[in-house]
Amino acid sequence: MTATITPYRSSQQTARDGFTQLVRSEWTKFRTVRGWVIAMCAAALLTALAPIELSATAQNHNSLDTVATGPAGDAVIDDFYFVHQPLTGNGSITVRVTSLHGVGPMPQLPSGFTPFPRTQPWAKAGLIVKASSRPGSPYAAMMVTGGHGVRMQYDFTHDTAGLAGAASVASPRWLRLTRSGDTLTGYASTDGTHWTEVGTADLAGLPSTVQAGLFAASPAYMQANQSFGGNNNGIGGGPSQAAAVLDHLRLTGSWPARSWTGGQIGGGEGGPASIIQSNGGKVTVQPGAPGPASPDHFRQAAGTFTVAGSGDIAPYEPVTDPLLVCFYGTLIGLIVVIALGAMFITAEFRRGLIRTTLAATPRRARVLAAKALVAGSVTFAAALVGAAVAFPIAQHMLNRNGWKAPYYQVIPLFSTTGLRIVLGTAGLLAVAAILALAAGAVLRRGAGAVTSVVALVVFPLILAVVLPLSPANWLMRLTPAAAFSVQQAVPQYSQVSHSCLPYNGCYPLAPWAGFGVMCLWALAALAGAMFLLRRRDV
Amino acid sequence: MEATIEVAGLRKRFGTTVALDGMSFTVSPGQVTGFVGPNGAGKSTTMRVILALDAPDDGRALIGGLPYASLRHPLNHVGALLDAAALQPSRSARNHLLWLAHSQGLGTKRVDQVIEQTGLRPAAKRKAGGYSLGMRQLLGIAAAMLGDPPVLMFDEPFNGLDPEGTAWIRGFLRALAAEGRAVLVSSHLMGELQGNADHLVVVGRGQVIADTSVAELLTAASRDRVTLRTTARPEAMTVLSHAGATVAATDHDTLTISGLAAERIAALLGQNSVPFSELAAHRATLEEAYMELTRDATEYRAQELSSGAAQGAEPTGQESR
Amino acid sequence: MNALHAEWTKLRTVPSTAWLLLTAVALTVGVSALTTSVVKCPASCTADTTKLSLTGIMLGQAAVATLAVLVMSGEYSSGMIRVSLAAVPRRTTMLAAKAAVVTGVVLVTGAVSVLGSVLIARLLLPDNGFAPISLWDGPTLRAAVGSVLYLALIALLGLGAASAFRDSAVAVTVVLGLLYIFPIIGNLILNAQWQHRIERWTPMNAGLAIQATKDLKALPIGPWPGLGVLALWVAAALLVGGLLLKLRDA
Repeated sequence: MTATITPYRSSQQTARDGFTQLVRSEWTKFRTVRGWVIAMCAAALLTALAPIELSATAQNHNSLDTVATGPAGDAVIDDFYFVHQPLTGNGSITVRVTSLHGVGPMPQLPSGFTPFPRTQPWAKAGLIVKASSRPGSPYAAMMVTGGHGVRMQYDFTHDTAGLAGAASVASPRWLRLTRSGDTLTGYASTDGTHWTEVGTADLAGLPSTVQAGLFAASPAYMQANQSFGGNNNGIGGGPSQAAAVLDHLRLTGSWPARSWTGGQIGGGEGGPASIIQSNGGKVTVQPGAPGPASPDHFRQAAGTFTVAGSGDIAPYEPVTDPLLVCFYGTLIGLIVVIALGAMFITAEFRRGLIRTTLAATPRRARVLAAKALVAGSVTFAAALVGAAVAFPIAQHMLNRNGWKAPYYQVIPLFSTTGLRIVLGTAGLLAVAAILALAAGAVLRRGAGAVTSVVALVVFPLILAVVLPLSPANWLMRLTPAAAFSVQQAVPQYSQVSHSCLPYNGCYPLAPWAGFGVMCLWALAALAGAMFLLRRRDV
Repeated sequence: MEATIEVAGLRKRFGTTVALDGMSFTVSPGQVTGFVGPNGAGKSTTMRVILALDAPDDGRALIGGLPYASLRHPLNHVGALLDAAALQPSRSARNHLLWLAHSQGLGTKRVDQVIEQTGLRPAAKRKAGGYSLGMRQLLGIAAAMLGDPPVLMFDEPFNGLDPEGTAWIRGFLRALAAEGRAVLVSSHLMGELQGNADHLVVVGRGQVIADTSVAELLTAASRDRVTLRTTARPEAMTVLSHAGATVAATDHDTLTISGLAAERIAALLGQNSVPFSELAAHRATLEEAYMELTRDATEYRAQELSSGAAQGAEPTGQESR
Repeated sequence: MNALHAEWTKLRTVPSTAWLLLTAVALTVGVSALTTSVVKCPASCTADTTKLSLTGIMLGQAAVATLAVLVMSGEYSSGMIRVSLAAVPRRTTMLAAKAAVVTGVVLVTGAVSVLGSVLIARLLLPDNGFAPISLWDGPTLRAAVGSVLYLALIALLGLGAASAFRDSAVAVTVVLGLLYIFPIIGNLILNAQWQHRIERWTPMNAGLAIQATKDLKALPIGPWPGLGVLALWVAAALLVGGLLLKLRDA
């Protein structure tokens, strides 16, 4: 019987041995379970609805701040004391700074707040050339700061570091600003002889006659306060004031020396200090101690100037990032996609179907890669639709609820920030689904995988609230929750001291860097899952 | 590629339990090879090792000379039904076959062919969760047939089938073998394989006890034993012993003779005028042969069961049909 | 009584039970120790040290909820539910037996976790400039006992959800979503009225009011009424879960 057997040959010959067919197979698996498809549609719907719902109830409290409109049309703080005179044509202005320190009484803060340092790190004084004395007009400035050395700044958002260290009589700082057409160049020196260029500013359309001279400012001190179990978590603060001593003021070129006039630019913050506390929806303003004494802003004696000022010349950063707050609504969709990502593989383990899968494709790492690709892409597509719908509608709602320019600028969908938020939100959900898939492959149990990924991705946001700022920030650097920074709508500038809390929109990592942290978690989890899947019997 | 399965020296432990203890056999094309042994003998583990689902501690398993894990479209080489319950209940049978087909680069046409071949068409669009065990077995067989492979493995395919389904599978297996395919069918019931398998690999305690054709096994087990009922026992014993037979007294009027054919005994007793009332040639059934072979393994299991650990839900394997 | 015994045997013979209980203790004590060690007095002297030293409950509850979910949905995934219901045909009796056993186990685990957290806090607090907490202090004792009860209620919430949803992953997702999403949204929502509502009526926010020992008048909801709100959620979950268990085919 066995002698005359012709061995059978399969009639099904397939030439391709591609990863594509594996992806197609996993896609077929996903789309043929109706419950999963429905859940994914629900996740997309929730991703759209939750931010819209949150924005529809949002109340605006940010009118407490005084802001101006900057050259780029964005909101800026432009409050400082200005000792100036009009100057026409090209020329150069030089000064020596021997001191910058905080002055005046400190505002009294409620218990729980740590006392303010007297000299603010971003207190600033030095030279400024400004298009006009109108708040928000273009400018370029060379300055010494309380804690960040010499800087050249212009038009609010631009900041270049110069010499490090504070100015003192023993170690003074020489500053120079030179105008040539629309271009201003900043120089710094320690001895008035050897100069280093710090930077140049191109202020297009700068009028022929500008206001130039000395300035001083000290930003309002804001502090994140958490009372750990009490009920007054939030942000508190009040104004501060700094005084600078300057001499060797010299004008050259076509700039003749005339007399100097002192004056406050912008609203100033010389009024009674108020303590602002904001905890999400709750904002309270308490009267504080009298503010910095302000009659003596400017003194000139024998070539030595003392200029004292309060306020800041900087981009405006609201205490809360309302759009980011609304986009926290995507957490609901996130939890749904975590469950789906985990179940995409644990359902196979639970029913033994994984054996059929791995017998059909013995190269197990590829199976997991195909699954990750399908889970990630499907989630990305669903979340992208949800986020793209929510983005303009939520902003429209915010606008209707009083979040208007200049306090809040509507971000177009097709802008760097708009695309980053929408694509980033979709990416955040997609990577979370992949992380859950990997956890599912490692733990082989749906409940365990969902719990551990929720504990990793969502729980840090809860823990951050009960931790002091520094450990909370570490949590937001190291855990996958760092990725929520892609939803940050208000830009953060290094030349502004932020005092808000991570869950209010201040993340220690830049948006895409935070997203990268979560990607690293997902990659590590996938690598671990591939290793275990290849090693284990199924 | 040759349509064979070669298993050589497989060893595997799960903790302190030895599942495979030097398992070696070969499955040849063109015949149905029965893979029998009591529950826990290592049949399913061997099949999982062949499919590279479990890694053996030692030894190897080859499909047509190649390790399974090196096959690029494995379902074109081996089709296997391991566990008919391994289904996503909310997915329809056709979609289950569809993703499996896609993973091999096959299309819907082939899916519809195997659905037709296994007679699943009326139920193909229903959710697999609502299938009876028999229908799940058919779906598993359809999945195994997707790549039209030269080697097929079925783990307990008769479980949960009605007599009609059992008959269908028997015919199906025979037809597959007749096409020149190698077919390995596991069962813990020898009766299921009688009149079906050409070759048998009998296993117990993780080892091969017998690797033989069905005919050889039966001959070996019968050993030409003849039962003789007679009132003249001493005379009969003398006559038959002289003729070279081994004679044992089993009862006060019964003798069991081996070494002589029944016809020869009848002739000898007639020549010597020894009276007898009954002469019966004993033909072993496949079941008896199997019981004989696996007695060790069975005793081992019985001891294990009686020595505590009540494993009530486990079906007992030794009942015959 | 037999049903109770059967459920106890089932629970203790599943290896995941021991693992999850250990995880619950480790997470609770670990997170509590972490938060207690990083909050220091000159910076935040107004901290509610009792509440601070019980912070880990917020993470430990995830393991407890998972355990409770698996007690019920584990039976569905293995098909054991048919055997269980054949042995104890009255489904409410089975649910009650499961609830009793899970509650007992979680009360013991919760007590261990809370005691561990309080002991570590006693060691850490003086170094950070705080007075050590004592269980002989009325509000602290209430917070400690209340935290144990809180964990038991979370377990029952998980059991109810698992009876309603049957699939373990789905039930865990619903429970964790219910617990964790509200506190995050509640911290952020730009609407004082809704913030107040969330703090009063959602399971985790209301339930954990039991841990507060300072500024009680300023709390959106009192400690015991807060735990009562959680109990209402639990009652609703068990009612719906029990009804579905009774009405559906197993």
